[in-house]
Amino acid sequence: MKANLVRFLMVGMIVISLLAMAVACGPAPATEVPSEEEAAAEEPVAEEPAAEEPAAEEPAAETRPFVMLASDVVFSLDPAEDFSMGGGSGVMVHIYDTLMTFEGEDTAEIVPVLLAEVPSKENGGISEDGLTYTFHLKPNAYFHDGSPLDAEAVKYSIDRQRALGLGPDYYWANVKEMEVVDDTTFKVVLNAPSVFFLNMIAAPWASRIVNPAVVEANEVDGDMANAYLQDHDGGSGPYILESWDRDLRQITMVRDPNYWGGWDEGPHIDEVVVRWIDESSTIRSMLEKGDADVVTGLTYEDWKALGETPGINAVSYPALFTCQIYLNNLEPPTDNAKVRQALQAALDTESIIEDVMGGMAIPMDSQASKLNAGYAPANGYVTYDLEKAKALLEEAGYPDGFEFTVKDPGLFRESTMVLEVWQADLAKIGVNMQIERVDQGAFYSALQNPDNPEIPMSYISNTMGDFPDAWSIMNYNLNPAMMSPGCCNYSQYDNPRVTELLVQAEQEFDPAKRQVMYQEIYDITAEDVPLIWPFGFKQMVAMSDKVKGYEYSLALGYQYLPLETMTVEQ
Amino acid sequence: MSRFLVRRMSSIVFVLIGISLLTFLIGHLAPGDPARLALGPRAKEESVQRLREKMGLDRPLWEQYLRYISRLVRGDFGDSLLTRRPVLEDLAIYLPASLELTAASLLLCILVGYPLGILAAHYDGKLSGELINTLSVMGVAVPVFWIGIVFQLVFYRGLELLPAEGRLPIGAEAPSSVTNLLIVDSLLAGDWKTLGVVLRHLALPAITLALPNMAYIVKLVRWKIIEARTALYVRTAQGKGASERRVLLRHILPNALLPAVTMTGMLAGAMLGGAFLVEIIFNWSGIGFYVFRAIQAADLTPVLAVTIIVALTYMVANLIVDFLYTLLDPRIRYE
Repeated sequence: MKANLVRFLMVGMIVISLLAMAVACGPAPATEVPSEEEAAAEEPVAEEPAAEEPAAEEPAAETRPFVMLASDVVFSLDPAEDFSMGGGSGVMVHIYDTLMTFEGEDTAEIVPVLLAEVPSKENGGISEDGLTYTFHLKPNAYFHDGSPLDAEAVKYSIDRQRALGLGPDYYWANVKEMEVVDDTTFKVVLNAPSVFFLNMIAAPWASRIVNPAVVEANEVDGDMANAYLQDHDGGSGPYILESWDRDLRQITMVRDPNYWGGWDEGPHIDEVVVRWIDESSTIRSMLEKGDADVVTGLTYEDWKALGETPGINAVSYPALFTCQIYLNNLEPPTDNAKVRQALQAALDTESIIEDVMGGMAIPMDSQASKLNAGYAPANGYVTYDLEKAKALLEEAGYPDGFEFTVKDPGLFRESTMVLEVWQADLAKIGVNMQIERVDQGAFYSALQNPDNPEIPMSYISNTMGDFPDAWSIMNYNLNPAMMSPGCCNYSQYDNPRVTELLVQAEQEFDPAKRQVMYQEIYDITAEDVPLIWPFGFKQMVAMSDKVKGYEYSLALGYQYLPLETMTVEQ
Repeated sequence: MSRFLVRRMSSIVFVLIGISLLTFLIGHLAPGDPARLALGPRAKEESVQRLREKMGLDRPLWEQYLRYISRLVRGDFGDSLLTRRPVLEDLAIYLPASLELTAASLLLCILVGYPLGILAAHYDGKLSGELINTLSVMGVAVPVFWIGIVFQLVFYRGLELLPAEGRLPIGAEAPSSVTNLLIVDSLLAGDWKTLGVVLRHLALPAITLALPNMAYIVKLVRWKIIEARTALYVRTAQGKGASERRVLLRHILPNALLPAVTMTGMLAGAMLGGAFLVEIIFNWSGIGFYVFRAIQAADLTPVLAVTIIVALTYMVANLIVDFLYTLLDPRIRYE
């Protein structure tokens, strides 16, 4: 009996297991991604994908959608609301057209999209006083439903964005009024002249034009169709939003064959699925197996391993994002410029870039990274030199060093390791630096508390400007108008000459004169060291070597794919 | 029994009120400005203030709580600052995914864990018994995220048997949604093909979530059976000539299983709210992932909603366990 009972239990377990396996391991249905043969690669990891001619004369049939895997999260596809750095903006750039955009892998030239040309003083698009901009639209643009994309639609879109005030309205803050002149012409009058107004509105989030008819048809309780547009299409772009399956974490777009901008001859990507996955190892496995075409959101280790995998290109590009360590310029000891110089002189950026960042970073030698227009190295930039650091501390009146705390809100994966390298070197010159991990949300809420901002002695962060010009990041970091509780002069730096130069540069339309002002700012801040710049980031992308036509966009970042010109070999 | 039910239902309501108040207070006492976090550091203070007013965050705490409770009794969990949608709509998307994952894992725990525990007790001191015991220790000791990644490498990359992630393949459409439970919706639609696909996608995450919990059940069942074998009532039954099978089924198991049944009830709530790591690895859009993002963004309404749901799950599971007690032990009766 005992033996029978045992046999019964074992047989029962085996039967259950077999049943489960039979159901689970049955043949894959047609909707499953078919397996692909991996192409044998002869090249090692490439810094860039090889330039390829457009594909064959006859369009090749796609066996599955083009799949991009990313790790950001999308919360809204309403153009007046999405303010994401990756996720949403990488999708919306294909669904919505903008007035202008940036182009270029290591520079960022403004090019027109809906506009016939970019306004300038030379072509009469900008008035002599720099206050009035006249925009001319291309006459043939239309939305996905066929209704015309005209000047009224543009004004409607911008007015909606400003009325909702959900983030992207920020780019139009300097606008006093807008006026429609005719179907393809509208004027914008600014409150104050700014040479960077066009840079601002060329940003990906600034001028995504939404269809007024869609808004009016789907408005509920005065929400200006915000709820509807969070996951529905209202654009004019080359791709149409087909669906956003939140439970599957995927967005599907289909090519609009009737896109007003037309399509080049040759094959195109007809269907795109963007799926968000947080786990880097899962993303890596899927690309290796051929279930994805382009992936981002990888750890350095997974990206490096993919680069050594046949059939996969792992590429990296310097990005506009930079790491910075803010130093409180108001409180001792960091209110002393020599102390700040000493702290910078104790930062071994070369070691950090190689050993902590695995080479996925670029060195800094100025207040803006090399990728920004107007960049130039600062004269007198303090470099790594522990002897000099020690001497500076003595000059500053701290021969025995001091104690201070750096807060780390964990804005990027390696932040604590960067600080630990610095901590070890600071200890050699008698500075006892403590690292305090803080919750990001609580930290920024306290820092930007409108009544009583809590300003730390120091904290590590990463950020970029609104557009790829050195002025933007410098204005954020150095202008006293951006001090806490505002964003983002978290060092509370206030140098009247630098402020004066920033204001003058914003109104100087001559690039050569502006560059002179920039250089003076670089040189002053090289001595003042209001904050420290350990490095600029590189962004990592990996893709199947069957993907052709990929080009990195400096301004739009690694989440952006030029789908309109990309193809996939079959 | 009806009085018992009324008492338990009342206690459930009181517990939920208490939990909601505690979570509400903790959430508001924790530093963080949800409106500022939602709009980002570069948004104008006027925009942030406007959002605060729209979400009622500028009202006194007591008023915010009363507003929340009055909406809750009408089934309105409020709006999420992060997703900019009603929390109820978010839960309609994320909760079914978690329910499916939890139900599948719990089923595995019961169907595999209990028999393994009985076998481990039966073969105690022998090689097979020690093997089961060792495997259960490993199941408890090995981190769940490691198990998940290894499963992906073996079954997805190596053997190419099962998918790596998601509830459905990339690009696939879900069956017509009635419940958002893909298994149920597939059955209702008579779509056997999709059902097979759904089960294939559920397999790895369910097994990953089940394994450590199953290990607890195996160990507990084994221990309780071994302990019960030395009890007087067992020796009495054996002395009266009862067969080994009768002794096990009629005497040992009803006593030994009581603690295991209790644990199984607790596991239901634990799995529902604690599957976050499994959800991340397998890209499973459940409430664990949803509430994690909400905590990061200091978005309190989703946190409150999920806390209440998980608490309710624990209490309902305990209620079911209490009923099962009466089946296992005739001496237990509720009045």
